[in-house]
Amino acid sequence: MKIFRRGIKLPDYKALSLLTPHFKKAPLPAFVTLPLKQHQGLPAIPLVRSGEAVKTGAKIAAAQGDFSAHIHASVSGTVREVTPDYIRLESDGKDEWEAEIVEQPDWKNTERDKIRQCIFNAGLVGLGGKGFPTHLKLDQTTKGACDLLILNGCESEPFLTADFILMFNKAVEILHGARFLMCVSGAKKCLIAIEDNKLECIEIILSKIRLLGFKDIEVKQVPARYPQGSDSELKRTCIPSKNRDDVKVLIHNVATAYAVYEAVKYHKPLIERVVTITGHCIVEPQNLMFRIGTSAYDAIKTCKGFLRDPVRVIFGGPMTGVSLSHLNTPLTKPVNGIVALAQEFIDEGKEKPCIRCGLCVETCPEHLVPETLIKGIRLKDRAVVRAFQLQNCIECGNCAFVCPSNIPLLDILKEGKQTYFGAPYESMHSEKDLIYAVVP
Amino acid sequence: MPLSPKERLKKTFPKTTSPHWHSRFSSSYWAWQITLGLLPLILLNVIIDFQDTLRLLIFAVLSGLMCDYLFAFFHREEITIDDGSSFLLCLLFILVIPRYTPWWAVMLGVFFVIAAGKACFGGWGQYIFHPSLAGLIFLATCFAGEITPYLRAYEYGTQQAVIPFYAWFFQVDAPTLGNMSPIAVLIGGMVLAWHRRIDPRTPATFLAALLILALLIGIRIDRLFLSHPIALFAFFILPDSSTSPITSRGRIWAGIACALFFLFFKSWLTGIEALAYSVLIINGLTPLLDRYARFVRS
Ligand code: SF4
Ligand code: SF4
Repeated sequence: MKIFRRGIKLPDYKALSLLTPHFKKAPLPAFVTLPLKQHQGLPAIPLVRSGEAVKTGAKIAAAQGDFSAHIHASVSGTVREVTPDYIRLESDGKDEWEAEIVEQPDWKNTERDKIRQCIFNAGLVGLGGKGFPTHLKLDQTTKGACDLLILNGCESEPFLTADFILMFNKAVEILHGARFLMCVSGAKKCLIAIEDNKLECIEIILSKIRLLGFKDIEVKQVPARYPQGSDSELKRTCIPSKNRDDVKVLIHNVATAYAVYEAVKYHKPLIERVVTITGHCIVEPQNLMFRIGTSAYDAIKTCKGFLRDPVRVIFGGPMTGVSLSHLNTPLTKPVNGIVALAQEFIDEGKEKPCIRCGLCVETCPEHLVPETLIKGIRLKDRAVVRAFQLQNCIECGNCAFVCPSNIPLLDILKEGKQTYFGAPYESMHSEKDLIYAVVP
Repeated sequence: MPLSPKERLKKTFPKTTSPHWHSRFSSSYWAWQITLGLLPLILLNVIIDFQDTLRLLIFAVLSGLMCDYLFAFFHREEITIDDGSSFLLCLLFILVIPRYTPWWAVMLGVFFVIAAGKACFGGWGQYIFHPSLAGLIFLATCFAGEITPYLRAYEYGTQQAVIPFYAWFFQVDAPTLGNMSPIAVLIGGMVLAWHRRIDPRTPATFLAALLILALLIGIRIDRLFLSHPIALFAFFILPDSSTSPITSRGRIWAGIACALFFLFFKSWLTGIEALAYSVLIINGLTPLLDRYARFVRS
């Protein structure tokens, strides 16, 4: 039923950063800080010593086994500091690239194992915010031969427009990337899911599909509702309900597809990505291609600083992002935006008793009853927590957003998941706090 | 001196947990909006019966808020008379009691509503039975001589074969204020339901079930609707947040079950009492309904 759809229509404020829909590179930062753990899994191991000279794209930290990802120098210059947590580089301003990062001959017909190797060598991780190493995600599905690849271009988080800009400007590259991903995973079909508030992107991608003649890629228009970009919601909207359990799907972000394209075509490692710098407090909100490791300070300074004092500065969107305590925090691979929230979006009111209004139930995309769940968690009632299926919560934050009594529902739910189910396993952004925690 | 854009960059921020923003919709705002939904009815009441409406309003609201204040004061709790819940409960209370209720009975009833019905259970959101209805039952039991005859005697249009159209808009001789104008309540309720301040599932299923059942049994629907404040109960009392189920399926079942109970009780309890008892029974069944109506994924 359409009227009673779950999820919420959030005010999106995407227009803020779309004033200039260009695809530009940001100026090189003077320093970059590269945390060794920018992904889920084990941290990388440094390969360089302090004082060494590196070129852009050189591997400076190697993946520790398979459950990890390489890290590359994002500027050319000198290594200034190597610690167990991060490597700091000073840029020489010349931006000399490694010699082997050039267009490969016959890149369109790269073989399957070669593509996988390129992805691993480039240190690719999921760019949608989760930061799960891409090669691992591919390996998981190649074993059980995947049927459908879904490229997630939803970007249901408000404020962020990084994927929009990418689809708007780099549609051909994304389609090639999707082709490579299909080749590795063995998927027969690819769906690009795009929310209906980005009709421009849908048009552009459709025309490029026709241009390139990729018959096995289709565009799926999905309703703009938060959390449309979560895996479970995407599956629900893209696959008809009768064979939802049989179809094996692989979900990747469009930004990842673009990075795959670059990794295969140029052997270019993941050293830069589109980041949205936005919010009502930024002077010139826009999307720029930032080098990984640029500090939030430099990134915001590129956009001319703060217009007025923000109350919170967030990596990622306001629903699931991570708030910064200071602006020296570097941009890591999964960060798709910096949002500077103004006072008027934040309700500092204190927690009041629950009035059982049912708003949390109505907005929960997983059909849970958060009100009963938090009661169960607070009373340490294991039976209630099990009966109401806490494990299905994807930590989207809808319930806490709408709660009129300001109850920190999401914090309580996360805590409950920790105590009853150990590590949070089915969640949208559970590991993200870990990834950003390495702040020098 | 105002800071320049670059100087502002030096600041630090408190670390918070996601979600970092909030809809900024608060519960007291919500209660006041529902109160606003009753405004058309209250206005009509004032026009039709200025004296009684004002008398009831002033006595009920003043003593209700005072009772709320005193209770919080003596229990050293936070004073919450401005959150609108007590006001709403007092308002609903005067809409369901007979309009000729003497002032001392009104005050006593309101004390019962606020102290025993709401505060004793732990305040807004905690009570199991709708306090206004509890107050009504309390009055009807304690002052059976003064209150009950009014509630029971009224059956609209027993003499006339054709019910005049204006009766839907105002009934001058209705025993309770809530009964005076079904259309006014309907308008307020529909607006609130459209904006999702009231979950539309409960009123919709309740009214639909009532219509179908009445057709099956062979009761005259217009008479049923005009003699009972059905719209008021469907939109404002049955879907009351604290006492009705929270799951969406539970809300649908609650509407249907309430219609069943109402027609069942109606055979020997006339008037508003049948409605009140059926809603109270649904209130009692709420935890059960919630438990069995939850969505379970295998
Ligand atoms: S949204 Fe908040 S107040 Fe409403 S039922 Fe859920 S927890 Fe209670
Ligand atoms: S955080 Fe969990 S419980 Fe809350 S709305 Fe999202 S899925 Fe539902």
